[in-house]
Amino acid sequence: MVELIYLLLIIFFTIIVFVKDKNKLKIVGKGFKHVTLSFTPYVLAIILIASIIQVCVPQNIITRYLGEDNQIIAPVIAAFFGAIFDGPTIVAFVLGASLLESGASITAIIAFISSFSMVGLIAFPLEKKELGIRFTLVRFIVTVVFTVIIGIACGIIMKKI
Amino acid sequence: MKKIISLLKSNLLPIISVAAFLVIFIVSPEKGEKIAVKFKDTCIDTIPILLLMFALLAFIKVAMDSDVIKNTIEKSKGVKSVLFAYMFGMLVSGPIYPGYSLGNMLIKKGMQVRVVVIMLSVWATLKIPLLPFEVKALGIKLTAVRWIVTAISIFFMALLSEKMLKVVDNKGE
Repeated sequence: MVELIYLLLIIFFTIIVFVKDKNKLKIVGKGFKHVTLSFTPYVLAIILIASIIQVCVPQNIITRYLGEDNQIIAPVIAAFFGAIFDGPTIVAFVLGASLLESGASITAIIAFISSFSMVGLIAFPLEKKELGIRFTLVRFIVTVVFTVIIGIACGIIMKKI
Repeated sequence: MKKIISLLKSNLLPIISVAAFLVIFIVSPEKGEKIAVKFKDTCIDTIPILLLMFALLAFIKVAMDSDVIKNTIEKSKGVKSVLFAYMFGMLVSGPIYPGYSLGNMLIKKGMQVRVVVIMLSVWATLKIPLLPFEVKALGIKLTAVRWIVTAISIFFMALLSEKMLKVVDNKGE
């Protein structure tokens, strides 16, 4: 169903752009090719890593550290791992979905996704260079704390609705 | 030699993942087979939505490739600047790294810290181009909850960051 909605949206945009400016459609085509070629190896790699984790990591380990019984520790562990890794956000969604399937709690997965995308230890030097050490440190500390809060809040809300 | 090293560096993750799979397959063919089946099933499930997402990204990139949008956020004030920060962050694609220099420029031109924090945080985690993929991965309910909770949290993160930065800057003086 989701795919159908987006396919209709893409067809709609294609017609609009084609009618307005055929040259722009060529740019869209080039952009599509560039994005596909640069992202696809990354995505396939992360799907492979997620498959390896699902098969090789015993489910009881995932549930013990990231499961429902660990409502405070699980998001902290997940946020920690999210903070130290860096990459396209899509990676976080693939890994997150895979860990959810393996028994991780919503709280942990949302903390992981938030931390992975918003906190970047690897990007820290670049942010410090552009925005200064004070801004970077303050944003880092506030974001790390809030990724855990976001995880816990999402977990609580999902249980109630 | 340099070309090979550069190729290896830019494809490190795919190389590591394939290497890990091959090692596991050699040590335990049974596990290797299960991984291969899981990989195949996930790819079949994921690739259609991935291609649609890439197409959407390409359209948005063309629409966003205009200085008009950057100028709009630069000239806006107050509530408008906060709203533009949210909109810009949600629509822009790609890694957050260019956002740091944009943030630097906006702060130098007098933009409030809260606006820059909102823009960077939203850019990082609430991406409309990735929405189809997120819905597919997490389901529509969890995606909606994550977006609402995160958007509200980012506002408070921005306010808190601004306050903390004022305290730190005052103590530094």
